[in-house]
Amino acid sequence: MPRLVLSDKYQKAVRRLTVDDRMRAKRYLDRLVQSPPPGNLNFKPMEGWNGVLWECRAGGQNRFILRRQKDEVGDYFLVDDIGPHDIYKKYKP
Amino acid sequence: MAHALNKLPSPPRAVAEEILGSLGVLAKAEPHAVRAALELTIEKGDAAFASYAEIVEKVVNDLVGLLASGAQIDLDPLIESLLEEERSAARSKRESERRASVDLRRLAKSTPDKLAVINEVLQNALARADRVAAMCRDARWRLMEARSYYQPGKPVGPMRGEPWDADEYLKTLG
Repeated sequence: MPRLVLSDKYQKAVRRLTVDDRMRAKRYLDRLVQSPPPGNLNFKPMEGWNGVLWECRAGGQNRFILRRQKDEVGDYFLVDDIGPHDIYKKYKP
Repeated sequence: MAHALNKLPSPPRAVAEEILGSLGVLAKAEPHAVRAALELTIEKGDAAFASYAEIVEKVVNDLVGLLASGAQIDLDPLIESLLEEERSAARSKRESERRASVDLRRLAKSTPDKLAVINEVLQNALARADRVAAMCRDARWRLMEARSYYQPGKPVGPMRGEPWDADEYLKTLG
């Protein structure tokens, strides 16, 4: 299962969402750590980033941006950001 | 390579499955023979897994190299096949754990003297059950990463920012 770490940036971004969206995002994160993550999450690498950034559905119009990193245990994903579709504009390679 | 693009060879049978399949015979043997047989099964399983992992790594390395050189390859069938192996490994682990709990309970009644040995080796084998799923997942992710980098899709819809960026379009309307 992918290991997830929530970044400070994500914690701030998630506070800007509605309560419903926040609850939905939490449910999606719970599903993301399943092995393998369900296909409808559309968990995939972002184009042009060579595997550094990944994207995933976060419920409704929202998407997670995840950053693949390594530590002494192995690979993990830093949940970098959450927001509506426009979030992709902030992450152009 | 053409076959490898559609489906990799099946992974070796999980060690825990092998052990659970031979519990009936082992229950009649001496405890030291039971331990030796179980450890041999684990060793064989480790060797089979290592050679399978080597094949998968070679296929993935070759495909990533081909993508990097500009070759147009449809990786979808292989990625799907790795995902299916991953799902199947996860199902098999759940099944092995369920079966192990039932078989050990039965064994505790019939031959309690061998229970400790079998339990110890079986736990050791179950701890290895995730490795096929993890290997398939890593291979799948490497292929997905390489594909997203070397074979990016055409940008469509506001999601990619261009060329149908709804916000920008609305701005042009004044």
